[in-house]
Amino acid sequence: MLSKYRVLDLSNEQGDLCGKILADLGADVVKVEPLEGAPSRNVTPFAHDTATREHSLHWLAYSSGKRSITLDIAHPEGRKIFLQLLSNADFLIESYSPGHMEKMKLGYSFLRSLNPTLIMVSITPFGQTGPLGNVSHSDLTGIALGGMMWLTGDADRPPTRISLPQFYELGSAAAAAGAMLAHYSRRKTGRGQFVDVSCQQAVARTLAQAPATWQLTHKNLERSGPYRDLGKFKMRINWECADGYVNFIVTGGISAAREMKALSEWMLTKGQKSKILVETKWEEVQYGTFTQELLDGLENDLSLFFKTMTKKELFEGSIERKIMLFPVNTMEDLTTYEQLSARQYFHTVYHPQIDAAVTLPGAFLKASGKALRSPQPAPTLGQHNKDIYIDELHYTLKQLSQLRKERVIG
Amino acid sequence: MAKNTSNHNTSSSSDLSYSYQSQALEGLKILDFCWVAIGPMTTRYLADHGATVIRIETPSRLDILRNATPFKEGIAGVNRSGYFATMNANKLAMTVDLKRPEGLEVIKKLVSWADVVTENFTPGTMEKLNLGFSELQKINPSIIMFSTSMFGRGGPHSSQPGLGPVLTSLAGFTHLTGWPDRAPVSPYGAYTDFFLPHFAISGIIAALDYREETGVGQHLDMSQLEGAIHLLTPTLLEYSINGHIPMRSGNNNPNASPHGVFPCKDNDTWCALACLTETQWNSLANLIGKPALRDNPNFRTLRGRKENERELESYITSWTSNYFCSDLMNKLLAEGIPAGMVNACSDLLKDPQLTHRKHFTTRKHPVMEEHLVDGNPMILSDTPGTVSNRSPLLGEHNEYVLETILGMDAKEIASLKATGVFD
Repeated sequence: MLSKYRVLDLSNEQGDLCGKILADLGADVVKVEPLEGAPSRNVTPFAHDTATREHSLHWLAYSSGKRSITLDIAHPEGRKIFLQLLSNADFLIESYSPGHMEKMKLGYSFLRSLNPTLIMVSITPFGQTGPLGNVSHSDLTGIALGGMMWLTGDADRPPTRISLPQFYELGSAAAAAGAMLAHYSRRKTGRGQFVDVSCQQAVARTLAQAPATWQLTHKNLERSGPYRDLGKFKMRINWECADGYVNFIVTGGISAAREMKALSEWMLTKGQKSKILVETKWEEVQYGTFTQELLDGLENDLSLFFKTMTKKELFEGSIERKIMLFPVNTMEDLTTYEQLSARQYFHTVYHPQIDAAVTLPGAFLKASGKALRSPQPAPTLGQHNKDIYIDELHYTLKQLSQLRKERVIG
Repeated sequence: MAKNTSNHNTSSSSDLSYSYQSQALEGLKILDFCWVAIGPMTTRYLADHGATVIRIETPSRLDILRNATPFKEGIAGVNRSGYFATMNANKLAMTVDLKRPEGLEVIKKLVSWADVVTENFTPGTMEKLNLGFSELQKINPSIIMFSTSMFGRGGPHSSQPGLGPVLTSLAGFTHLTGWPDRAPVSPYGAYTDFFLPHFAISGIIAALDYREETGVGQHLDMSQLEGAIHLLTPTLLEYSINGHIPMRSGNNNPNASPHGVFPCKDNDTWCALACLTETQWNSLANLIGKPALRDNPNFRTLRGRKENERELESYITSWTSNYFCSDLMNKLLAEGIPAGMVNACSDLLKDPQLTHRKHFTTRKHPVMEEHLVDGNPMILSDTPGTVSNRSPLLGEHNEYVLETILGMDAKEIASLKATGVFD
């Protein structure tokens, strides 16, 4: 859909997902990399445990579908080329520390004077200004400061996080939305904007009703392991089964009534009778009117039932009965999950740089008109130098080799 | 229009300080059937950026968030939920019984009015209501429809209903959260519901752009499972390329040490701390200053620290426990060591950085007195987005929509009302 738009992507590993989302939507996203390669190429772990700049799994995941050129933008000649590219670009994405772009004399006010239509997206942990504007950071500390960590983990251990980086990714996804909002505005006004993204705020947006719970009731919701703290009561959401774990959440109202009836009948076929399941008027129960006694009784009965069956048996039985129970999937479960294969979600794409066929996730949405771009390999370092420098900017081979000699391009 | 500057009914003290200009999506018209979290969060972004969003609610099957905690004074009520309020501020609220022909007629008029129709029912629901994409197209040929559901349209599990919290398990996040020696725990809340709106908005605006270029509308169908996997692609590749099934690992990072969450002086207060480089480690060792830590040969290399991490962490714990959390964080940050206090919501609402960004603000509300609104992570320099209107009461804008948007006269409105289609 966005194929007529050019995105220059200067970001490091903290901003890669933003350009990836725009690339999936069809934009021409060009990674402008230093001669030694973008820092994202060094993120561990590596494919086949081979530490080269083409093997980072983060790079392969989040630069998929982009193009790559090498350019030393600090070199006077490199800077000239970069500004030339910028004057025709629609978006610039960067994730340096606040102030770094200004120090490089590439601040937004200057770039805007060069190209008034340019949208510049800056992804930083905490935003461009403020008391934490320029402090050291990591995924762990960002998830803590964003409020998600407090609410995650077992009550008798320190708070924890999802065991893979999410902090910058959450910010980068918000950045893509910001870029598109600014783009829609530009269609009408002809003017670009500066988009200032805070990853911390993107984390804080994931907290559902927890902040409002503090504001209205002065109660901090707490991390509660396999339970969910809903203020007045705790409800089990992760349940052990015969070979792993499943998720099941009790809701209220009409849909819960139907579900609970189905669950109760299912249990009866296995010789288990739950009085509480049968006798509660579920259609009259709402999120706000549960009692802890009801939830405890239910937990007791359901735990016994779930332990007698495997993830697969429980999931298949639940699908059949339209009960909202789902397995706690591993990555292996995911790649073999029949729903995803039926929709041909995963794409296996040969990656010459690592000499392997790689399973990549497909489009994040399906469009009836113009399909999203199907997964492509991430570019090798400087793979598109020729396309950009010769075909587009009309440098001669001779000039190009001179630029190489001067270490302006790689 | 609801969002004219003259019609701000917000508390001025908590308003954003940006000068009000035309917002990015000014003039865009959204007919919104979304409910619960992912859909309403998506359309609140659109409303914040200037779109007119008419939220349709069915009185006989209310949005479950209208009855979700927290409530003002702990008393349940459809206009008392703080959860609903933050998700739906800035929208117009209309009640329509979609199963009645008069109701459907009103909706069809709004379909002609709209640029985008949004919904997050289980696939098949809109179709059953005669509001599937092909029906919408008959009414408004260039309409864009945005649908999102657990699984999208198609595939054996397509019509399976579900909610965000279970999706975190299905997509693989839950397995990767918690301690390796214990059962997994769910990341808080309905995690996927709160980052997928950013994908959704990107897609919706791309489709609007495409329509401006070509005149062609389309149906966007987002499988939440398929979208969510994009936040763990590198981990997926660990399995698909390296054959390794990643496992939850608490707060551990194989390439950094120390890397964890340490107790502070007050009960159940914590500070996250990460030494990602040797320089950061040396700064920490000097800051703590204990020879047993600084001069311990076991801790000189990353490998040594990983091998003796338990011992290392016990030294650090005995040091961090002496400090209040924010003091400790500031001490570490001053030395260039990544640190972050583990903010509970009570901390979060007064977090200096979030306060600087005006993340949490409140709006006056006739039933709740005041409700919280959380801000947007991306601030656009010319059109920053703003929450001009508090959360709407159930059916609050029925007449406004009929009169001002659909141009009905008083007689028409009265006879429609008499049918009970809005009750």
